[in-house]
Amino acid sequence: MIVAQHLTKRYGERTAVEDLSFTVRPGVVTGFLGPNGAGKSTTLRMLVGLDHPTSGSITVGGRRYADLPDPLRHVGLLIDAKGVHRGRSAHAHLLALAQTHGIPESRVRKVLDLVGLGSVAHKRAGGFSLGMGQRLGIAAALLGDPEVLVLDEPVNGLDPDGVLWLRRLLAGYAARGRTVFLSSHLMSELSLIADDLVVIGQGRLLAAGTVSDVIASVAPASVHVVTPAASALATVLQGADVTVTSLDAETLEVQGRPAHEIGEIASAHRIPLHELSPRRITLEEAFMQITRNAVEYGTPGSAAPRTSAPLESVR
Amino acid sequence: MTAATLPAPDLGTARVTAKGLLRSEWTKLRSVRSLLLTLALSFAFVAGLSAYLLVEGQTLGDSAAAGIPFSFTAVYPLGVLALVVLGVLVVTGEYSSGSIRASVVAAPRRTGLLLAKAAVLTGVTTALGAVMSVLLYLLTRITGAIPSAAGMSLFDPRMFWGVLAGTLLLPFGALFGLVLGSLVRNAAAAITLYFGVFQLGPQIFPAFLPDGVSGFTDWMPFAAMDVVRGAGLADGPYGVGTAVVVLVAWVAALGGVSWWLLKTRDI
Repeated sequence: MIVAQHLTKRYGERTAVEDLSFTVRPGVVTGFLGPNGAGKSTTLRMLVGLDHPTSGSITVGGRRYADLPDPLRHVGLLIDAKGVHRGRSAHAHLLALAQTHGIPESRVRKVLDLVGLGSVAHKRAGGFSLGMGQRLGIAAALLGDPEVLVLDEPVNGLDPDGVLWLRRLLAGYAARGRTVFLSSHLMSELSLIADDLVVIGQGRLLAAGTVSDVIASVAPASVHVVTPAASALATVLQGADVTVTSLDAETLEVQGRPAHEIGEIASAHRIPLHELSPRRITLEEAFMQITRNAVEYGTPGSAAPRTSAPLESVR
Repeated sequence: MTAATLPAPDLGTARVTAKGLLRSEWTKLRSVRSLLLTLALSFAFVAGLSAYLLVEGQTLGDSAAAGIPFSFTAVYPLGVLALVVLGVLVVTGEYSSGSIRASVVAAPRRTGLLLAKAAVLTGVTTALGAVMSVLLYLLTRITGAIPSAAGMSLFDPRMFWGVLAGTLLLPFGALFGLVLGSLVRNAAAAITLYFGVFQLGPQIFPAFLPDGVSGFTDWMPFAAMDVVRGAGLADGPYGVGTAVVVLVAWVAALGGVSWWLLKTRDI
């Protein structure tokens, strides 16, 4: 469990992170989203004590990372793939990290095999491709079998095979009750593996919650219905919290009732349906919407972005 | 290779310990070829040149050096220079490669990291220096190139203190480089700082400074090293004991600043 409370980081005049508070639950994959320069990496760096917060705190299991007697057992971090001395082998790099904690050498070999670098373990890391460097960074993160896995842009440079492998690894990790916290620009990738989201922009929290909550906060799910008896259907669909919008004589946009319910109601009233399809904006569209609101309206710390924004404006 | 096969390892006893940090730093030092080469060449060069002088017999047998039993340590200062560079590279290599982040994430309190690095480098260079000095002493006895050393035991005070002083300057150089490297975090800057301020400074500064102040160059590490190296036989502005204190004070002061910066600066 990661808890950030009023976390703030200033570099001189520039504020990288401002009054950021969020919680990352164990047992799920949490995506960390934000445009470039939003403060994602700075937040992760403060999590592991590389940067000191100007004020506020960020803790792992209730403790400051630097206060842990066995930090690698708590947090595994991938922050930049190329953080290896070019002249050092992958094996030696990981061994030096493992030895600080008295982690046995067998564990080093195990994680190298796990990330598929077993055959090049003793080659100099200077010759590694970006993808291999990324795998080595993931191996380093897994070294202490940590409670919390923190990955900054983990799919960078990975081939499709590697992406699939990483997706399975992260899902499996979370399924074992561990915490997975990852940032990525690739929304489609995140929407496949993330359960929760923390969205920041200009160092401030924009949205947090489950993926569907965050998307729904931007644009509620709706159902697109085409029927020759549009007005009749609109009448029978009425109810509390249901909004029916007529787009043209045969097309309705329904919010507040799931597709199967609409189908059943239409069937009960013998209304023929030509089309019945749930509409939901993608995570990417939701993200664009949330971050654009932040930029356009400068909503400070707005955790509930404007929900009335029309769908069309997303494009 | 799915996550389901990820074994739950038995790492329950894993902890950051002093012993672990020392082993880690030893692994870091021995696993980079350029560092090993710098280390090996520093000693090979000094040992080779000293051995040549002993075999050749002329230089060390002349009037000035002949009276100093431990004059085979005369070229050690060249080794000190090379080891300053090694000390700088050991630290700055971590910053330039970015591996410092992994190191600090593994040892987030940072102090142990710096101490272990210093201890390993000092230990290794002390051990190699000791071996080299013993071998050169034996060669001195075999070749008889230094008349005053004839028949003298290594542990004879006239021999021992001079050899010890010369030998310990080697790890001092490595440590000094390490401290400069962690102070400025950049190899070029640290080496420039060393040569500009500490190596050439004592000759340059007096030209710019009023007479009363220029004497401070006597208190810089290079002057103190010369005093220590002479082991009481050469004239100096102060005694060997004071010189040792001066050297320790320099490393402690610069090391203290480096430590404070390491603790408080972002990586």
